[in-house]
Amino acid sequence: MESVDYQQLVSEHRDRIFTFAFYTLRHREDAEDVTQDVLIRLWNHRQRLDGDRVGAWLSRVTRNACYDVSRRRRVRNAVHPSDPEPQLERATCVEPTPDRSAEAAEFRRNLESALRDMSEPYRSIVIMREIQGASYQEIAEALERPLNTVKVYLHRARRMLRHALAEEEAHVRAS
Amino acid sequence: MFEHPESRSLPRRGPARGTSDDCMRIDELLEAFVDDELSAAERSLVDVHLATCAHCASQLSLAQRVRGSLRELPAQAFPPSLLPTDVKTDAGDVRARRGERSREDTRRSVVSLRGWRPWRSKRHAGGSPNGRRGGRLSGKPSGKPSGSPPAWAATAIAAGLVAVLAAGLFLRPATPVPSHDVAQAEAEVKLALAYLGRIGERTGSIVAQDVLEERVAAPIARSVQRVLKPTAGTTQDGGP
Repeated sequence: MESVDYQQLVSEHRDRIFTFAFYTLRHREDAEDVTQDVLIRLWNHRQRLDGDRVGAWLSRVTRNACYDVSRRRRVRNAVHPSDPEPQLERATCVEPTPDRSAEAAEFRRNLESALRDMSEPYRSIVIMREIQGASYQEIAEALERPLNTVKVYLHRARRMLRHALAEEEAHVRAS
Repeated sequence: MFEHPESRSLPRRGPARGTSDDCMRIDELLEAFVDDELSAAERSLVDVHLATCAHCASQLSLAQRVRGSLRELPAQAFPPSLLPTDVKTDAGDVRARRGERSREDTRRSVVSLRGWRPWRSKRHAGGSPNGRRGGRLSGKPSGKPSGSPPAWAATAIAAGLVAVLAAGLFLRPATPVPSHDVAQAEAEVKLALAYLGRIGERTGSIVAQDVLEERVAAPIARSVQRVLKPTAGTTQDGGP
């Protein structure tokens, strides 16, 4: 793969890598670091990559890099428990606007929280499929799981989100 | 937080209400129903049930809203200022001039790319050596007041210590030094160089302060102190 192709790949995939890292880590600067790491790995492996599978490869590498960051966070918190937890960020403005009611903003906020608390691989599948619009095939390659398993996991993940939001709504109504 | 796959079992929560067997079965099909991925028979089953069950109908509405809201979550844009611009100029221009990609081009490009990385520990350093991140960061307070130094700074400090040690070893030939101390110092220099090489390979990764101090800086400093301090009258191990 030539350098021009590398630049093209970076242009095509950088936002996608960053989006996945951001929704996984919920921390913008950590997501930037992960994206830079992944782009460096892409450069280092550019000669060996199959052009048709670069997307899946990048998703896999990004996911592993996010996992490493999370692991370092846990180690750092264990060694320095007094350090403040990184402030988790939200992707959207939740302030009510004329065209977005407070209820809708609250729903979006609860949805993001439920997604953040979701376990793997469900969260990765939801991010890749629903937010990034990846195909089932691409997700299956990235996660190295059968395609039908990805479909089942996606539906299961969205059901988990739905139940979490229904519980939250019931809790609000009860209080 | 992020968990390793299969590290946590799936919570099998059912709907809060509508707990009949039918409702539970329909509940498991709603997402596939929304995605239009059910067989004709399953779809018919869901349609019939939804016509008579207000709870499942509301769950269908919620399922549609969840999917719609997820798809509305915005993609995030990676800041262009963090892109490896050096790679474009080095590799692209040189190759265009020569008409081919040489080994030297590759090496230069990799070096440029690696050089792009180190200032990423910006939230700890409060800026970058070349100012690419400084402007944005100066306007955005860091969440963590302190932390590991940037990799380039740690590398520079370690390299400086190695240089001092080398000067102590090779520029003071007249000073008698015990041979075992020299051997140990040499071993520690090799260790330090190995760590520097490792740091170089992983340029930009966060180098833990304690690791640098314990495994690189402290041994080198000890060696420097030992070597620069003359040991009178001893040129052999165990000598008088």
